[in-house]
Amino acid sequence: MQVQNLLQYTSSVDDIEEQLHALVETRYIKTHTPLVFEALGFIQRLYHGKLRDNSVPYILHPLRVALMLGQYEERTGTKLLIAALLHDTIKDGDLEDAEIEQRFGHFVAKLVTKVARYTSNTGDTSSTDWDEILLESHEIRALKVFEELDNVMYWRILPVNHALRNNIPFWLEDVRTKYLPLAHATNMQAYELMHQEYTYYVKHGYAHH
Amino acid sequence: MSNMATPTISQLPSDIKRRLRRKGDFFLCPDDIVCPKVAYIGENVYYRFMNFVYLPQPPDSLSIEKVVELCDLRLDLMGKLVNTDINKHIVAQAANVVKAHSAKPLSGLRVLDFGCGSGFSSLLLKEELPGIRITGVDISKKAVKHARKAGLTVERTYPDKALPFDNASFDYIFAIFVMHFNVGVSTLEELKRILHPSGKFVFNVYRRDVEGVLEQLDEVGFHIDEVMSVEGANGTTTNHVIVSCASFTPDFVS
Repeated sequence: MQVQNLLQYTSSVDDIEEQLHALVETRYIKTHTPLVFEALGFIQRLYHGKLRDNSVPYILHPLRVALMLGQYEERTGTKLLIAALLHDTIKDGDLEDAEIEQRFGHFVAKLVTKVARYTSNTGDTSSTDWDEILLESHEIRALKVFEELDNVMYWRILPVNHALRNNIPFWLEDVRTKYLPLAHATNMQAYELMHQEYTYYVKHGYAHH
Repeated sequence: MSNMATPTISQLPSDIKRRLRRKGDFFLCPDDIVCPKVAYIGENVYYRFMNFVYLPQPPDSLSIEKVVELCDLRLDLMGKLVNTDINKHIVAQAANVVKAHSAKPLSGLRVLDFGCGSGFSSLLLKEELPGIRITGVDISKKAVKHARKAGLTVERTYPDKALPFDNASFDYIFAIFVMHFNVGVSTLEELKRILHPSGKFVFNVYRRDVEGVLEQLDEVGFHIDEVMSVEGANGTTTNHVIVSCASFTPDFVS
């Protein structure tokens, strides 16, 4: 797997999908793989033609989160991969938790629901909610950590002068106070990558990439 | 997670922090204080393990290296870190699965104690199941040495390397106080390989972690037979469940 491409947000949707297919087909037993491809097909239809902040295909985010989990998190099974692919569907109102449970099982629904709970529409969580996630199971924490890691990497490619760049200082404060401790408690590779990104913004500023 | 409000996780009080003793990546707590279960020490969150050690990650997120470090620490502090009554109770409950299931006489049953540590659980299993032929494995060199001194047959194993046994070598595999740690999928696949098709993998786990563990087992093809809550003395509840699973679905076994 070309980790450098994954980290630098330069791979195309086709590249990432190809890598995900290879990962799933080589790592998991055959009885479990069709559900992953069903989830993949679902978000392919859901996010078809949709862009994230008018910059990159929306689907890149869930694909990259799933692939990073597969790459860096040895406990990632097919259910966690599916949850990564679907993690934004409840928050965005595309699926109900009951529908996820019916199609993909209780464990996937639990992971997706929990992660949605820790992300409000503004992207903020109360400190009490945040304390709860620090006590959650490894799988829930890992999904949240890699989701945020991908967000932090994505900020680098936000178009110059994009209005969202003004939010980066506030987001960085969340990274320092919430996400770095969460990553430290969950996956040291994710922690190191997130710390590297955080340091980059602190050193180089955030107005331009 | 219960519906009760979660207390805010705070910085460890400075009077406690001053009395912590650093031990590798861990902090040893003072003997005379029950420290908060979870607290910030500096910028990061630390999780109390039993009453005496703060870990930089909860047990289910510890790397293999840190698990070894913790196991070695437990050997150094056996009296403090190992609650022998709980151990005996859990082993007795796990042994009951064999007593209820095994069609063969106990004598000669081939049993693996996965993550045997000091060998304490192996010795208890031998008491509970007289006549079994038990072999221990552990990734800690120190633990292997310790268990061999206790007269046990023990092999040292290495993460991501095949376990040193032929296919279907064991009738039962036990993992006592192991599965709350991060046990990789490749290791679970190995356990499945060395377990006889009619055998059982039996382990205890803290209840809060059990669903993720069951999913991992399902992922490698184990069939979950039973998940049983462990009652404490006088019918009190404990935080443990005993899980029994088979390497093949029941229909497959003749």
